[in-house]
Amino acid sequence: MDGKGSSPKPSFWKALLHHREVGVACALIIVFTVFFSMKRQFLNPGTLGDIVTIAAELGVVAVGASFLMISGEMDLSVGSNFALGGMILAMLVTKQNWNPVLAFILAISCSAGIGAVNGIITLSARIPSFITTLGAMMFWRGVALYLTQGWPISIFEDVPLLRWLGGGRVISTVHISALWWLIIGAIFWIILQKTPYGNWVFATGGKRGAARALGVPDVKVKLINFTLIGLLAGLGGCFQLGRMGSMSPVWGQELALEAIAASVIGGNSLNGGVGSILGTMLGAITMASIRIGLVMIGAPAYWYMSFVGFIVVAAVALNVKLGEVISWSK
Amino acid sequence: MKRFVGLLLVLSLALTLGGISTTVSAADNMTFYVIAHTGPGDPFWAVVQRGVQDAGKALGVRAIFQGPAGYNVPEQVNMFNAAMAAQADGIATSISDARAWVEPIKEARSRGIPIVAINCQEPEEHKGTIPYMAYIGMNEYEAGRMVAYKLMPKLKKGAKAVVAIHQAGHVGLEARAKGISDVLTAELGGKVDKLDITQDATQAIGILRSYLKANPDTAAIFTVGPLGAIPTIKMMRDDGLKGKILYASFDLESNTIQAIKDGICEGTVDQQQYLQGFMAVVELYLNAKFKLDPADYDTGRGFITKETADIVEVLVKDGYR
Amino acid sequence: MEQVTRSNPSDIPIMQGMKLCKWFGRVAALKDVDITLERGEVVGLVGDNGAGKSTLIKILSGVYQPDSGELRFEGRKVELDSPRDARKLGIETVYQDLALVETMSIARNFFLGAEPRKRVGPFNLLDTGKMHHATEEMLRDIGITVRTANQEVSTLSGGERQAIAIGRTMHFGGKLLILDEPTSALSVHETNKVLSYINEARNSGLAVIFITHNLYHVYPVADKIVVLEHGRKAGEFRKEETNVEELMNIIVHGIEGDRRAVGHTIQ
Repeated sequence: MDGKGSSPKPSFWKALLHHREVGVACALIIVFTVFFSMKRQFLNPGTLGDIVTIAAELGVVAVGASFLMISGEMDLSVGSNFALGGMILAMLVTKQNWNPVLAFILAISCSAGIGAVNGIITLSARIPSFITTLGAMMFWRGVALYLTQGWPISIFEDVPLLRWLGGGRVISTVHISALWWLIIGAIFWIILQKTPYGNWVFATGGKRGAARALGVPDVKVKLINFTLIGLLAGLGGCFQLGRMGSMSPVWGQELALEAIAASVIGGNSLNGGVGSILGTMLGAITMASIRIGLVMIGAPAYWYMSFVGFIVVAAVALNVKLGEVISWSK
Repeated sequence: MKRFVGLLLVLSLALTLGGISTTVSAADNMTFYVIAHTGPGDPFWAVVQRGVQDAGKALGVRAIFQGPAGYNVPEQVNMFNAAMAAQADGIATSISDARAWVEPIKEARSRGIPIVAINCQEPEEHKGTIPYMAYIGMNEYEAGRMVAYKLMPKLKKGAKAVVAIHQAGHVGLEARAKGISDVLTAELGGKVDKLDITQDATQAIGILRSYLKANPDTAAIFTVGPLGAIPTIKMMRDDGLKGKILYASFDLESNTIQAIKDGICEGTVDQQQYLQGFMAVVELYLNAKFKLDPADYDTGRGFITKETADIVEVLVKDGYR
Repeated sequence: MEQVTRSNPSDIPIMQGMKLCKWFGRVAALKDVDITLERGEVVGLVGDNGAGKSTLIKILSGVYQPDSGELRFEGRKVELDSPRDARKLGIETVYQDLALVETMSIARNFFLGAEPRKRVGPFNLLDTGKMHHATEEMLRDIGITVRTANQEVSTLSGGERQAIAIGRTMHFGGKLLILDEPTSALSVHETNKVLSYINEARNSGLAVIFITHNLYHVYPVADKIVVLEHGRKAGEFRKEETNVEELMNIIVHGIEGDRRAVGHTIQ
């Protein structure tokens, strides 16, 4: 290890390399360089606004995914939960004439409830969360399809709440959902880095036995995180409903894998115990940039998958490489 | 470590240079986007893509076809926004959702970007809410009614039928299905079921088989596109249903044509989607160049039967119909 | 409890186990074992595999509850229902592989489960400054100078990890330190270091139980050595009254060999 020979006050560059977000930052810089060189308009404010708007809907779920992943579990059902959250809000507003705010609260409560059920089943039956949430993904997708018989639900009336959720714009093409996402990201960053609970999240995912031996309520931590990701998935669905005005029971099908990809690009470990909210958010921005960039340069959209795949491996490889060069600090 | 960073720099530099050269070659030309709710992985959209590309070549402009891997409106809207950000000279898009397209198209029009709709439109009750300049395609609901009327002479009063839908929730396909079942219910008074057969061919066959087992008196099957037709035709061949159950579909694709020639399929609606790609680029080009207003273009509501199947078969194989 | 401690500072043992029995089904894992742990004393617990060492420490640390017998902590009868109960009394256990979370920093590990908080507005946040300083101080105290509190535990050697786990116990005012095979995966040099930390813990007044199957590791630091055999106590020896060869003989050949049990009676 290089750490032994390191001077007590590392240089600026060395201090920079100590951060887990280095891999994703490099990936983002490369993606921006490539697209900007091929299409000058890529750095226009309008384009950047589109990117953060797309990143917000994916990113709000990815923040929850990395939080849960750090505590050692994963949730594949977020896509179905996302669609269901948006649909419940849309249905209550259009078909039941509910007060939109009340409908919104009920919608995200249902999503949080779905997350909690995932957690309760996983933790009490001791089934791997991969299996529990795979089942939940299919189950809730089926429920969503049943609710509207496959049809999308649209809200044609002007509902102020929807503008507040994602329809409205802050500036240029930046939708308000991007702002909410930044706030949510900041809250989760503080929880993870600056509260005792964050310490428990790291410990639960890092080494459950040790955490438990030291009195960390590991089961409670996991259950709370399952609930939080459910809540955030529903919120993401409501954001998208706000921007699109419609929600279809078939939307959000790739969301779970995309959220996991954003987390992994951002320096989270699939084994838990390690990760960064900032990195995850940069990961979501990287993926949104690829989406927008490929259309702008006129490349077939299918390259999106290949590109993201490449970035996932490259960013993780870079993190591992850096990990060998210097010892991580957290 | 240094070597690794160096490698990354070289890689990005190489990509950068590669990028500049392509930018220069297309810099003076106009760029048009055609954005669909599904990409060229669907044989139907591969023909549209061909129309787009051919129009681009013929006119000497950059014409780009884009679409998400599977039916996905939010992703399509994101692609549309990206095309706007790329400062396209015109964009064509399918109106895959009556609500989601309102703001993006308003935004594009306010920026002075000409927009035409292709392939599918918002349903009747919302007509006029989305400010695209023209529609190039067919009326899905009317086409559904048409195919039902084509089979009507061969069906008895009270006959049961099933409409198999491979993308539940897709506005255009749902409208086709509704057109079929509205006519059959009204004219025959029989039961018409809607069946979600998914986009997975193996699953679709299984779902159809178990439906027919449960409903042995089914007199007619309708599918609403090639992804539904391919598994249905395979099932009808495997289970020897030719002559026992009437079958009709939408769109031209080689399996469907062969089935028509073999007498398994009564006929298929041809919406000539090549035109949707080609004419969209032409109309956008003419608007951008000469300020000619785009006009609605009915890409056709022909019904291909055994008599006409041979003629179009060659063109289907070549990817033009 | 505090009053008892202060009024009788030295003559009451920190912890006593009397006639402890534990059955797993029809197998007796522990039969009538007595153990006494005095403050400032290191007890080496030795014996072959299956002798009952780990059953005994799990009873002392609250993981298992004895089927019969009695536990006394500072003279009072106690019942330990969980490791949390035991920690509240000041019984800290350092398990060989569950002492620290490798993926976390030293500072985060040091305060895990007992994080210092500071109020910022309505929120209870981590007092990261305090965590950092206390950890740096602890690292200095135990003589680990090349590390900073922010370093990940995975970068530490096995000996350093044991040292930090022991340091944590002393910091949080533990009274009884249970060490499960603290030297089993260490080099000779590191073993000696860990042994010196154990000495330090003893000098600061803790009672220490040192579980090992390596007599040569425990002999230099132990004041008293308890030998278990098939769930029974085969003997208890003060160090000055015995030697390694004799103890070895007892472990290998059983109590029927050369026997010279200590007349150290329990009250």
